[in-house]
Amino acid sequence: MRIIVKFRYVVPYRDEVFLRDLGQGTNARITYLTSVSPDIHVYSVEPQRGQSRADIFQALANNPAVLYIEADAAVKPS
Amino acid sequence: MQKNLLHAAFPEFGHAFFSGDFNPWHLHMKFRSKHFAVSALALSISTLAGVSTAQLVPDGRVFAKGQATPSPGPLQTERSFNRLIIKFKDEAVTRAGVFDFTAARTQVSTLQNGTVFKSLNASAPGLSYLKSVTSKTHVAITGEKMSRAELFSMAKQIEQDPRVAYAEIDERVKALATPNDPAYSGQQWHLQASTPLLPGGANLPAAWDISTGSGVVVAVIDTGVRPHADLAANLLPGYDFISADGANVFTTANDGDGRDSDASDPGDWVTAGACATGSAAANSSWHGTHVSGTIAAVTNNSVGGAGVAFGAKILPVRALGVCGGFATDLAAGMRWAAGLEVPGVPANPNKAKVLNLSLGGSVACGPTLQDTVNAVRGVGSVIVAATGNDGSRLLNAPANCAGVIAVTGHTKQGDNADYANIGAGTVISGPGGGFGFLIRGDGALVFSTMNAGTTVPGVDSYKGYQGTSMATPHVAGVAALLAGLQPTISPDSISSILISSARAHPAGTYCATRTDCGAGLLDAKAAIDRLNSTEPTVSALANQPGVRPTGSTVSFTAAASAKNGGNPVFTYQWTQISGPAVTLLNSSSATASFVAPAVGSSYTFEVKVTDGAAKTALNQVSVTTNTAPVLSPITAQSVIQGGNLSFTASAADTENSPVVFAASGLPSGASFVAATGVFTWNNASPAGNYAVTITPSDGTFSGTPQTVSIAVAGSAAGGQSAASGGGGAIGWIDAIALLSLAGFGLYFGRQQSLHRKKK
Repeated sequence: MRIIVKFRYVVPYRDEVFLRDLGQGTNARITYLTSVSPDIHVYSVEPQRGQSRADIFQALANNPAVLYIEADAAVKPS
Repeated sequence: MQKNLLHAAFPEFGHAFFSGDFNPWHLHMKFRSKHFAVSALALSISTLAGVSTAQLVPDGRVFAKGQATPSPGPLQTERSFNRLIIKFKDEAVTRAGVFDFTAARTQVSTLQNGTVFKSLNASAPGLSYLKSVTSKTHVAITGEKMSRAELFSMAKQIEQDPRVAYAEIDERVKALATPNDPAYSGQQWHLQASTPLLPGGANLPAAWDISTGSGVVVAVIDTGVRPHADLAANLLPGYDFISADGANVFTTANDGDGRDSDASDPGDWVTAGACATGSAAANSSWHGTHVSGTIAAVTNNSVGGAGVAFGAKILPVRALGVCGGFATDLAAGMRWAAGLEVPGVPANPNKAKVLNLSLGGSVACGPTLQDTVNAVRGVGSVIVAATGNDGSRLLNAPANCAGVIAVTGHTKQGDNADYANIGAGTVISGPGGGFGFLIRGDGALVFSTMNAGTTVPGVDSYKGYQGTSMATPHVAGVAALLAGLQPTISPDSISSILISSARAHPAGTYCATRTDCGAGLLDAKAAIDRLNSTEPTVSALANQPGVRPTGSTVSFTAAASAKNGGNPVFTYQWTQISGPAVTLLNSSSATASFVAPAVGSSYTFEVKVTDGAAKTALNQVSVTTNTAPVLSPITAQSVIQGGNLSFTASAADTENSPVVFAASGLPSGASFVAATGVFTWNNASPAGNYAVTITPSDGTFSGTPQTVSIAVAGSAAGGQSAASGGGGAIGWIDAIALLSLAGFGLYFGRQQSLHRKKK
């Protein structure tokens, strides 16, 4: 799933060590996908079996660098 | 441009012009029958196409107030203006009531002796009487030619003289700009002047006389664009913002890679079931090409159709691909288009003043989209977005974000289209085509550029589409026309002008008696007139952002400003437009307020601002109130060590919104379900006292938390029931996620319910 993370400050948002730290506690694999702005970035998160989205969101939110987490939404032509 | 129709507007008697060789008989006739005189003159001019206008004025030119107000544009700084129309309050007549030429000349010449005229810059040229239009209205000529801005400023100064009713620039009559593109007359009803038989037209021809959006960049954030021959000349290099769906997966992008500088549309065709279970197969839409053509198709090239702002340039930003796209790619594309930084993407050298978003998602405006909207508006770009095609009374995101011009769609007959979403936050309606909700009409579509390929690109073509996607570029195009005249115009000013210049929803249409369809139907010429008028502008904003608690005082403020020398002395009048009736406090002040009733609801209020010259402006503000849920008391809990404990939190919500719960301080091994409030602790241990804090939320507000004491007694004689441990802390993120899911269900449920109401 694609998640949006807004950080409180500038972080090495695609650095492997940073991502490992970010994912600590989630037991999920986090992969950088793209960026929206200097402080908003998009990641792919692959939950482990039995792991809920809520579990992952809460674990990520525990990171002091994180301001908020939001699921990426779908848009379509209207 | 063809000049096949002479446009001479004579909205009132004072604008009819007569020869410098004054003819008292004509004037006499006008005195007796002003309508006769005006009609006669209009007829004369209309029948004079191709005939020497010397029959009207000696110098071979026709002068009239072809434009109601000054139009800056390319002529703003050109020093080619020297004629003013000045209407006096008193007639220049003899005691017998006969026009007195000398008195008229004196009226003009004595202006220069007045204190007001003397207050003008010393270098201001003098005024000379040229001719009379009526016994009160004369044409004066300045001693030297001036720029439009200078002459306009002089006119406003002269208007301050107590003897003067008004003064304005004497404009030259122009022909209406009628494009020679073959589809314009037959198929592009949506661009044409509004008439009783064609209420849905956006009234572009008269607007094109003044602005074509030249110099303005409009970003079309969409499926990308094809280099259509009727569009390519107006395309700038854009960018493809579609990122990977997941690690190295590019299904949405459909071009084998992520973000790059190629904004061309490779096609978005899908097979059955590709987008969702049961979804239908579909050919490529070439949606971005259609939308782009509506805004800026090459015009007057004798090919295809016309564009709303054919002098503008399109900045294609690709954010939609197969099965749509992601809000994050949309947000990144919006930022880039507005000249803001997007990591990993080169800076945009062609900052867009207008962003067209013919897209949306059936979700609330999340923080990332709202952040993006705020950032884009912060650098002066205006965002125009489609309300959506669900036929509901809820707006899609990002049309539902604060600060966005949300566009619903109407038909050729001026009725709200049966597919078009409306609801609180709708700003205006543009021509979207299709069938009407109450007045079914002929289903005429919006004609624009297209590609014939069913999957990958084929040859250029044209096609009619319907949708709020089609309505939106009409509004974005008119925003570009305004920006072409005033490049630094603010997003709020564009919004205010579009609102105040919109034509009323026609009688008998779905929106005629509603307050949630926006201000009315888009009118390009009226918008430009409004931009150039001296009427004030006003923006109305809630003083506190977001949803307000019930029982609190909710206030909102109107910020009025004078334009073009208007009188900046304002009075205010607030009225309630929708929502349960409340008592407005200080309703005649800039800031009004009310005490929110006990049950939350949505309210819309309108402010009418009147300036010192009795000119008015309107704007609306919507606020929503809500009550936090109240948790039912939970008694202290106890369990024997090794036993099982379970209890359920419950809460009441005044607005009957779904409530979720967050728990903190969960003992190890305990679990808590945010959606149901069920706490479970099997095989509770070790012995001791615990405190679990539970907080209810309705998705908007959190209620007062309650701490539940749990005592685990130190005997292990057996459990109350067999169970195993597990769980862990369930906090707000769980709750938010679950509420989000609940919200989606509610959203769709409500949408369907409201859809039925609309139907």
